Amino acid sequence: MFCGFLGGVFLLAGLEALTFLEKARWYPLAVCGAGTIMCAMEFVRIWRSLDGRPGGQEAGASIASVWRSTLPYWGWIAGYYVLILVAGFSVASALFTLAMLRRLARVGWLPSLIGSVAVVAALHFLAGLFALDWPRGLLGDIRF
Amino acid sequence: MLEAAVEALAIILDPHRLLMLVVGVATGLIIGVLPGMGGAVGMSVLLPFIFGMDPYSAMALLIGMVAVTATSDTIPAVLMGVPGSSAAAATIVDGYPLARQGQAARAFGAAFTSSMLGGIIGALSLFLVIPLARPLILAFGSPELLMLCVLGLTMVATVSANNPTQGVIAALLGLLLGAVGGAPTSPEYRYTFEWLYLFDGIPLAVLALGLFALPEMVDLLRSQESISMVRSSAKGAIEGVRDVFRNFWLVVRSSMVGVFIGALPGLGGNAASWITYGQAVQFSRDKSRFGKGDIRGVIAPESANNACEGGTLIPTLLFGVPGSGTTAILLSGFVLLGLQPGPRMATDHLDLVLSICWSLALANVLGTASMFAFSRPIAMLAQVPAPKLVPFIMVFMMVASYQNTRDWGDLIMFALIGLLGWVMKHLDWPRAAMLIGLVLSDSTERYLWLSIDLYGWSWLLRPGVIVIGVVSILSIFAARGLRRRIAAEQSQAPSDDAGPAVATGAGLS
Repeated sequence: MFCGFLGGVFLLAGLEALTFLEKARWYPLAVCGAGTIMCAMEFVRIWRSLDGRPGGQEAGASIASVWRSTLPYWGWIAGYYVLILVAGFSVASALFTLAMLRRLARVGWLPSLIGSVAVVAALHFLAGLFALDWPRGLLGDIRF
Repeated sequence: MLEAAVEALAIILDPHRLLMLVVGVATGLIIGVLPGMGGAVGMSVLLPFIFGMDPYSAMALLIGMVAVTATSDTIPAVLMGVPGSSAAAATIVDGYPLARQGQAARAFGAAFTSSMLGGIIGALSLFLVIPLARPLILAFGSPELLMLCVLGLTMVATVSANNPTQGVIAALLGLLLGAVGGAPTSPEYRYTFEWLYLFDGIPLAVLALGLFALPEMVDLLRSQESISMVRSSAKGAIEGVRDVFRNFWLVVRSSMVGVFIGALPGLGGNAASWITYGQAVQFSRDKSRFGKGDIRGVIAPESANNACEGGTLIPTLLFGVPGSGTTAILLSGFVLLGLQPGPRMATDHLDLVLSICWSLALANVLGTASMFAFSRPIAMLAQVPAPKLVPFIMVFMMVASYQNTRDWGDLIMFALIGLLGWVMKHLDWPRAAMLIGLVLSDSTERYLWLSIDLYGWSWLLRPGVIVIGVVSILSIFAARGLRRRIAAEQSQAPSDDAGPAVATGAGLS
């Protein structure tokens, strides 16, 4: 499936490349052409090696189960992004650290709060030292 | 020349200049540890401070910083699978598996020692090349530089020996992603879909972080383990040092390649690391441990990426041509000091050039000594359970990603590439090959068109092109031979032996 997905990406990218100016077209066209052909070859090879063998279905089930077990953690990362979007990076990082330490690491309240404060302190220190910047949220950038 | 070198040493040993060197080294070590920062960030931070300094002190400060970022970037690479800078991505392949096996201290010992030796060789090369540089660099034209890119791409075949087809597809995907943004040879913006963020292309640092670091963090959370389940021994660092001296010729060879690639503008430490990693695999008799924690997989890229800094200074100092983004900023430092880099530097300011050589060498020694002093407590981080460590790493990864263009696009791209990297890891597709493709994409296209525009198709008959082309083809055959050997070993090995997975194994597949 992944191979098929990549083949589709190359194909669509190749079609898009046809709309570019002449000098800008040939390089991506060559890459996409080679990519499409290689994906097709690999797809056929995988199909033949899995055809009729129970191992193929087991491999598919294995990646699906790994994905299901990992989904909650992708959810945490997505939640972090939503927090950044809403509250800005400082607040989001503090809350994310606190929540993760409490919920996943099962650390007590005090160490979690200390960790959260440490993150914010380190962010501000680095910002001052290296003139860093970070995303503001819809509520503006609430800095402690 | 030797007398001048001794005088330059006396200049740099002045207490104030030594202090500047120490400050530069300290800054460089911190910069290197923080993922996504890199030498260019450190250079731009320190540049304002050189106003009013004498040139020797200013160069000690700047060179001290740039010399050691490729030393400390090993720490996140080995400990977390996060490249501290793009040049450390190759170190992850074997360094991270070593940390997982409780050998983080050994990996650090080997990395820091080979970094130091590589840096010293880089400084020595700069010193020796001063009278010779001009004809050497001028002999390399666009066709030869294109063939070096092709050589780099053939490393794909080496790093994905288990399935070269998947390696080639991954590399082609990297080449395609590298085509996003402005075309190098015409006024066309490709694959931007009217999203302003993509007009400058996909930042390499964001891609490297997303591809390697995010999948590791997610899987660590899922496994609920620490990075290492095995307690790291304090003696490990000394064992790592011994490993370096057991593989001394690997250090020398990788360093020389690093210097050579660094001297060619546009390729940089990342290309040097991957090429020397591929060579280390190719020239080894026993390749079974590569990708699973072979110490040579740490020694080769770490020697190369430090030596590369010496190489980048060759065109920068002697021709005024920056070898990398970092040296481009360094050039502006020269202008601020009232100096003009170019061929006259070696005659009018030989003492300054030689003091730069000494700064480079001393900074590497100082940086390595500092890293050894702190490596044991840092290696202990490998025993901390992942859920306690990951929140902090995630925050800093987000900070690092965002610094590339300071746009939400950095964070979005980080997540998307991270998802892609996770899928590739679990389907055993070589992520290293994709990164190689992205790194070399712009250079390949640029030099291809330059070669055709300047030489027509006669560039294919240039001696340098033919030599490098033959080496590239031999690399591919060597990789095919490796694959046959792997297959033969697998058919003879016990059933639960996964077999060698060169650079597509535990670290990066």
